[in-house]
Amino acid sequence: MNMTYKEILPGIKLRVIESSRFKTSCISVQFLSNISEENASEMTIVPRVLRRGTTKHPDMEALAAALDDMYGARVEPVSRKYGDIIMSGFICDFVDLDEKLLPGVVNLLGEILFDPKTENASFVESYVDGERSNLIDEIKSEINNKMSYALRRTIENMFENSPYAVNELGTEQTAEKIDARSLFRYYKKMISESPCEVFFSGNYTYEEVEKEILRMFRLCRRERPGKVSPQKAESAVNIRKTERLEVAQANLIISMRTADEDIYKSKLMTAVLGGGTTSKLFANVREKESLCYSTGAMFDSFMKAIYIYSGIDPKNAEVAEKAMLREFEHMIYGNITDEEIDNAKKGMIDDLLTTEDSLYSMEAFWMRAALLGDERPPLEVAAAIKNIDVESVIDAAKGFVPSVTYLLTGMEGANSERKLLPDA
Amino acid sequence: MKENCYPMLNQKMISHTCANGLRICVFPKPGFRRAYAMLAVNYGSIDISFDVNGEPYNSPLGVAHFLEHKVFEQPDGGNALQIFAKTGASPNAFTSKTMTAYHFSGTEKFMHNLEILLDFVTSPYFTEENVAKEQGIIGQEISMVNDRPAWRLYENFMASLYCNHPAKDSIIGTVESIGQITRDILFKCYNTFYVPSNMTLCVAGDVSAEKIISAAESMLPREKIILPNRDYGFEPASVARAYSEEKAETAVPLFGIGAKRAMKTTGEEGMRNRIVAELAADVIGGPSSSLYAKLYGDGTISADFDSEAMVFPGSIAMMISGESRDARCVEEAVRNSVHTLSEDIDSGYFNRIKKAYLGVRLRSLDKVKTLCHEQADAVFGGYDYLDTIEIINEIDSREVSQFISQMFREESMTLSVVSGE
Repeated sequence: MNMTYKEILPGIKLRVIESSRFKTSCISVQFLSNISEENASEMTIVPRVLRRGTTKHPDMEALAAALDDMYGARVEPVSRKYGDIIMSGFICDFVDLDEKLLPGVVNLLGEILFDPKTENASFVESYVDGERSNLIDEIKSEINNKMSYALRRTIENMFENSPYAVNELGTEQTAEKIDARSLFRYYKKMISESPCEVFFSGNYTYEEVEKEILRMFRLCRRERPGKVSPQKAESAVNIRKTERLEVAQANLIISMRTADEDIYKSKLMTAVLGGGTTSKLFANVREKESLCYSTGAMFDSFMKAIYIYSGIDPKNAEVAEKAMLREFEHMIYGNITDEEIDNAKKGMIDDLLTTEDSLYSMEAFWMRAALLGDERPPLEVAAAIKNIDVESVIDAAKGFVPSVTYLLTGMEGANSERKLLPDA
Repeated sequence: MKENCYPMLNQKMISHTCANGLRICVFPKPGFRRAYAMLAVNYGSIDISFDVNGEPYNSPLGVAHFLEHKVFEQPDGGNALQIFAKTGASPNAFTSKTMTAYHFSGTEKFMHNLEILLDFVTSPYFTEENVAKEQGIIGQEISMVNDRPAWRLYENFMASLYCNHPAKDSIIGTVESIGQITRDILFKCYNTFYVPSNMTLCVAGDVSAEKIISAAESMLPREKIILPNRDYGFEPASVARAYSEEKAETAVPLFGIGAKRAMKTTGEEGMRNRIVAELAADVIGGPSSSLYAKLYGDGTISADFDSEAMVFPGSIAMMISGESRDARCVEEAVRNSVHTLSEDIDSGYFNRIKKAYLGVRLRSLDKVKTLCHEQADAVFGGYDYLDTIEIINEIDSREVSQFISQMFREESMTLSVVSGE
């Protein structure tokens, strides 16, 4: 597997991984920006509006027909947030069967990115209206998945007034403000000034891909790109929050932060604590105490924060919190067996090694790597993890400072209103 | 051992049926670091009425899923999941309406991991204590899924669509039904269904088929056990309820519109019916359908829109689902659309749909988990997954058109809605 990573135009970096293992190829074009209250909704909605139609394929039906003709190639709008950076663009995939589809797919992607259907020198109003109301619904619907809703609320409480707390969808208010003209201006600026990461993996050579991507960017005038880099943010220390909804199951999240720059040490610590079925949380809080169905811990490399979570019966919230904290204390006091460390390492290493078996895992790995400025391939990271010793894991655990303990639980009493009731 | 080549797909499948009835299917994936194995049992949540020693027996709802949890249990109080961890493999399991499957993927010691898989699935350890403990964990799982509006929608939709077919019941059971489960019931169901002739082992990766076959033959029981009769009840053409609505915590109401049809779902005919149904689902509500374009274009639905075919023994169902504030308007549009499509499907449109469908299938060959899951499904239906790709081209628009007209009859249709208050 051969990787090339190069700045092909000012602010446009192309990464190509040549691989003949797959029948599928994947292209991802992502524009980057520091996230703010003001731009989150815009960054997210731009690719969705672009995906509605181009000058040549003016509506979704026409675009879908063109994609069907290329054996159901996909061009999907995405926006993702890492720490305080938002990344927005398209991920495409296609299968070569009897013909080489790369030029056709890049043509269509170029049309979607740089030649959108317009009216009166702006986006089509009905497209923007439709996507805006979908975005608002999506923001409202975040409550449907209780665990991710609880996580979002935890992060909002941790990083109040900081870009880290901004949701990549924005808020209902920021989404409301979007109109066709202002969004078109934002889009023009985004494609000409934002740094851009392009990823490709599949059965093509670097030269073939570069030629197509350069041809595509000829459709767009690039200015000198701005710089995007992660900023540091303060977080709340040791606060508690409870919110109530009409739910049968409660979700508890204990969040903590660290200043330790060595993210893989913290990741390994997190894996021992709650990385999977051999972790302390799963083995003890779920299997031994039967307190929950789901429990574990996640580490966010960008926020340098750990989230220790569980889904529990509301009446067990206190017992569960104690049990979860007890497992974390075991980490600090070094009550860790060689087997636990070994299993956690093996799980992480296995994940890293298999990154290369999936185009989408590779895309995600390398996009994150670009932001973290860590150019080590998965194999090298895996080798580094292998060498982390137990003292470093204990050391990593000691570095965490409690931030927000968040509980999303059921209503008190029977006939409560179905409304969010924050309490102190 | 048989080797089937699919030159158009650039994929091989090596298969073998052991004397005990276990079918083993291996998809070689040269150069892949990860190898994936799935041991699937032809036993899902719908298998609740069957013969035990020649006598009809009805089990509580949710036993298949309960067994899935319990089979991991080890006599020393540990869990098979932890044994896998020593090699870094990621094991897991799932239960669907028609299947229970145990699987792992890993980058090293594949044969060792495979032996762990074969061993723990075939050596159950159930006690009254560990059954009681699991009732608590699954009780929490039931609360978790019931808090998801999309799950509520699916449950209500199925319960409205089917009158007697156990596809109407929840995969996971209810708090009451899992409360009735005992160690004896688990053993009864386990002994009936967890037998090699009712299982398949599907593997994808850079692995040796010979070694896999010899491990399975040496570790699994030798005898071929005759499978019991299963009873799915008599299902009328009409639905249980034409409309159902439930309130739940959701910002935008969810809808599910669909229909069912009694059909052969096994053997070559079953395979063809399945593909026709899946093509019909794409023709009606796929991303390039005029239905989707119209409803999305005028803001009636969001991008969360799905049109799918579901195959159960003796019956195929279709479900068109998504988010909308006006489910009745969507229903009207679906009715108009199926009416038009049951008369004629534009041949240019149909050929594009077939091309895209083929593309999706080809992409699935890069995903070892999807590939093994599809093949396990196919084995239980009496065919091979890769054969389905080869026959796509034989299917013409008239066949799909006819399928749609017979599926969407007034008495066989239902609409379910889950809305906020």
